[in-house]
Amino acid sequence: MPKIHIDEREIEAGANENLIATAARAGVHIPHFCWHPALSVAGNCRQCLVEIEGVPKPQIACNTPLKDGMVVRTKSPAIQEARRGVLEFLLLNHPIDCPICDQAGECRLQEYYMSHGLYDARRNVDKVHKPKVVDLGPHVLLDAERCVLCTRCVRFCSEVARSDELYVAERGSHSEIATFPGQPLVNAYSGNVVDICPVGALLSKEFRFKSRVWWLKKADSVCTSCARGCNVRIDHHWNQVQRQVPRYNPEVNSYWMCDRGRTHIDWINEQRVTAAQHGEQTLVLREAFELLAARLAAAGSAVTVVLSPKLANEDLLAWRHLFTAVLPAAHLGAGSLEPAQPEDDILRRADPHPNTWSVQALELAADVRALWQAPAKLLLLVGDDPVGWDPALAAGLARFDFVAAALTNHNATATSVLAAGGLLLPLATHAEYAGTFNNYAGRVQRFEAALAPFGSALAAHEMAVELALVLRREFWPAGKPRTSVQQGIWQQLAPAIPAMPRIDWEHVPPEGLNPTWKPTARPRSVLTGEDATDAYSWGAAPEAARAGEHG
Amino acid sequence: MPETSTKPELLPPAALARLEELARRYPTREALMLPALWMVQREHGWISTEAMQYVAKLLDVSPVRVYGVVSFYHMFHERAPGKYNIQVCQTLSCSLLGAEKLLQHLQDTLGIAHGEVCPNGRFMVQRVECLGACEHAPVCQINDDFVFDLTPAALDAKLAELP
Amino acid sequence: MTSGTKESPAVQRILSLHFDTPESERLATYTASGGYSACRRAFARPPEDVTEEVKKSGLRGRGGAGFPAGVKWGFIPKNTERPVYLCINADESEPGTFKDRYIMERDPHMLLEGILITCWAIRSHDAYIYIRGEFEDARRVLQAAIDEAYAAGHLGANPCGSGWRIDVTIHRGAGAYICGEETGLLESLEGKKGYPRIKPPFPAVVGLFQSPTIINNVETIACVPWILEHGGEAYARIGVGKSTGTKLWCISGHVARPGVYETPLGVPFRTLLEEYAGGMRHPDRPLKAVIPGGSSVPVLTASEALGVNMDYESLGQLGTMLGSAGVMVIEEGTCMVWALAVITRFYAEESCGQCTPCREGTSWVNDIMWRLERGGATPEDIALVHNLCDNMIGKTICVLADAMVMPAKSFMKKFKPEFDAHIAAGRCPLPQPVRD
Repeated sequence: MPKIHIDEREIEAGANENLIATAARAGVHIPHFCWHPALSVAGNCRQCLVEIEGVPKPQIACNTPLKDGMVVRTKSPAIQEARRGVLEFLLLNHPIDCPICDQAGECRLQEYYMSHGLYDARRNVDKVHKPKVVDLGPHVLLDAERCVLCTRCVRFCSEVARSDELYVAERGSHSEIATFPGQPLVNAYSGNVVDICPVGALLSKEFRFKSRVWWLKKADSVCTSCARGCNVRIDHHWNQVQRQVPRYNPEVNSYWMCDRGRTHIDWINEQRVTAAQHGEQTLVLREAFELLAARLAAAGSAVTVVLSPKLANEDLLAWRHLFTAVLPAAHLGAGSLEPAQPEDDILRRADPHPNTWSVQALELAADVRALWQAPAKLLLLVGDDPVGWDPALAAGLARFDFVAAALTNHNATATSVLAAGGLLLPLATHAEYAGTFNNYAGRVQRFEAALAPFGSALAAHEMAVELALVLRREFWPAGKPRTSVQQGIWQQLAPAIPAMPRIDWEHVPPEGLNPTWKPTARPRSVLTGEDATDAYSWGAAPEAARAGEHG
Repeated sequence: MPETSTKPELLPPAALARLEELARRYPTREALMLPALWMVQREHGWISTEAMQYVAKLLDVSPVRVYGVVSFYHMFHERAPGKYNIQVCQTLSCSLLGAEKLLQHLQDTLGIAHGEVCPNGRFMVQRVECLGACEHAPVCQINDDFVFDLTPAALDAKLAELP
Repeated sequence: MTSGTKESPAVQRILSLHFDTPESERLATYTASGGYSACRRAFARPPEDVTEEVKKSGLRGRGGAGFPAGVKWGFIPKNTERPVYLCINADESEPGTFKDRYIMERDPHMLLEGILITCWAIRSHDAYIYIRGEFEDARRVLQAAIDEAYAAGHLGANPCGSGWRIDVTIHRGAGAYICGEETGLLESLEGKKGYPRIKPPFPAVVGLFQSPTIINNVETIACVPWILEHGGEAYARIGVGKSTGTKLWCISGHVARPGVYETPLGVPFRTLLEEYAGGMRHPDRPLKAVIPGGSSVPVLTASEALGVNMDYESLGQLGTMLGSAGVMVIEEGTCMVWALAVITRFYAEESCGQCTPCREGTSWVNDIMWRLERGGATPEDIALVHNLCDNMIGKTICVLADAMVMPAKSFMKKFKPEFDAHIAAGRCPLPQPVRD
């Protein structure tokens, strides 16, 4: 690998790495708009100009071949002036409407103006006017006046989404990003163009005007909309999810996620079950658990428990343990009637559940309709919405002496359970606690708590522990864990199941663990420097901190 | 995608055959972009969005690529031009020899500005950049034909004799 | 007004020798004067030999950059697995340039023979002639010549009995100056917008259809048959120093006889003006300025021009370039601010819009220029334009921005009093910027 000198620092270039990426590892941020680590090199924004010893003209860092002994200067007066000049050109026809722009706070134009611009406006000619609030498609709006024509979105559509829906129309200072007249941007990954747009030109319809980005608190999470388990970041404010954006993981989703996963967040914010309810009556949680405990005691083993592949590993392990070892139930299984989703060879998987792999590993896989029919006195549902997927199931509830359901949302199942005189328990969504899912390939991926639980909602695994407590049964085979409940579950319950991976729950790295991982050494992060945070939060952290973030 | 095969072909069979003949000269279908667009424009005078979709299908490329190309090249028309498209060169050699006056005269006589078409659809006026015939400045092209060494009077005479 | 070469003094001519011969575009005329014999000589020699001969000639690219043609051919990787392509740049769009049109309309077989020889030298089977869309007449003539050449067996499966297939295809552009930039041309040929490509890779390695490609100007290739016929050394003896051979000059503007004239390189500008172009069009309006190589090169004042010889080095010493040899002659009484505004308008119109400094800078500078000319400029505007030019030059993928900066800076420097007078008067102080 060639060794190069960047601003007096020597660094070895990585394989297939360009100067921008190499410099980032050396703690030097080279400003750029058009270059993106997962897209082809366009070289059009000209913001990444650097000085290379022995080369008369400034060169673009994104496309300069790295040679051993190359001496690069990124902060010389000539380069500072060149960057300032390019930035001035970029802002020439820009409306400078930051106060009403959603990108404000994570905009490269703002950021670079502060770091490389700081000139007085010299514009003395009329601005070129272009279309604003252009409805590009179901999820994306275009403000052509804010666009810097970096063509990241064009390249994304042709190289990643392979839909080739965007191109630059016209020429010169009249150039603008466009779809074919009358044809909206409808590829299944269109939201990513908003993420990679370095300015406020491409806007998310869902996030537009929802929150200033500097109010957003961020939590690493995993998308639950299919078995891919795209790594995401939940941005939240006022204890509401404001947006969900992809988090870089080269092993799972690169920088991307699909629109369905991205926009499937309202269920976390709305129509939530926030308190226990029995028929018309609202109960405090303790009363609800006592009621359920009494009914369970009465039913003996004539109990059917239906879990969901939307539950986390910790949830599945806890409920499985509760109803096999602590209070054996006649019928225990996990399944869902949610129909398969469109699949492709990019990211989307047909299986709409985040944890089917673990359901199978725990030998819980079952047919929901068969469980419904199984002879039992008590039916206990945890998660999902079986009645919503098959309304005919509602009638079957009357067959049981008692029905209880722990649900996140006031869905069709909740309505039917209450109508049947059953008990409804408030279940937390994955946004409210920390846990792990194993994606379709068995990769263990950890999600963090983003929100405080809604009302008195509990995570499913907490409910299992709580229920054992109320039943006065010992839940923990080796005594109450001194660490977190989740850690205790992995230490005490998981080892009994050979198919489940052995993990150190407290130290699952942000990019997850593949299923063959052995706990011999602390996992080393594959994420480095600017790549990991390119699409987001790049303006928020100082360069050095970013470079070392995952290093 | 609506099926377009039931509609009449935008290019006549002879043109399509010529295009396929030409296809043998290029390793990609996309390289037929300019030839195909020229055929469409020759046939119809301009290139409608429907025609762009047609070309996209012929060449197996995304329609927006065709749209981008059409809007990039100044000689392709996205709207119907007049019967006679008068393209007046305004670059230096022509301007040195009176192109500005020629253009002004044309706009005054026809009552239309750059890019506009006469109400009767007969003429369109376009200011264009260097036509590569500077030895005959000022020049214009009427459709594909050069008109050399112009004066306002000579241009009037030329327009008058057009069929 | 004349446009031909009839009145030119008799000196050595290579390219324009048959321009005025009746039916010079016909194959029979071309072969009658010995045409298609040079390519037979070429096919009889190994390709490397042919390249070597062209290297010996010192022939430099006539499109504007002046890079030695034989050296360029040598950049094709040896033993490449991919096909090699030859592209002929006939997108003649540099303002003030019209020589390639003459070659294509008046001696198209000379170009075709040059293509045959070049294809052999670089081991190419496929040549494309990218011709600007406006040259429809030239395209028709050239196509007829190609058809004749195929019919006679000079093109196709077995040109001149060589067994080396060579197909020549005309590709018509559609109105974009940028397609004369060699990688913009490649993109356009591939069916895309004419966005110039970032380099590396260079076209000789990864060019048309991802394959090694040589792109040469029409005039460059038209010189090749003569070089093979008479030898590279004979060609190198014409001209001066490293400016070998003859050159087609395109003379336009305020001269008595604008047109295409051929002389050996190194001819004094004064000779070109007075003996070829018939002097200034108006006896009482002396020369004011000359743009010697198409509008993209720095302007010369009258005194600079009248003392310079027209070759790469002499013009280089004056800080300008031979470029495409589009010689634009400007008489006294012409407003130089206006003339520059006309030039900047061209670049603002023709910027492809890909790179930021060019997309935004050309139109910004153009707006200021017209304000200087028509009113509304401020005293700071001239310094601003200088600074904007500095921020554009050398910072883009191709040299279109540089091509506006070079005339702009030289006009503002060499005719500074006129720019100052515009500022002082608040607009153009002349009753009209150019006299009738």
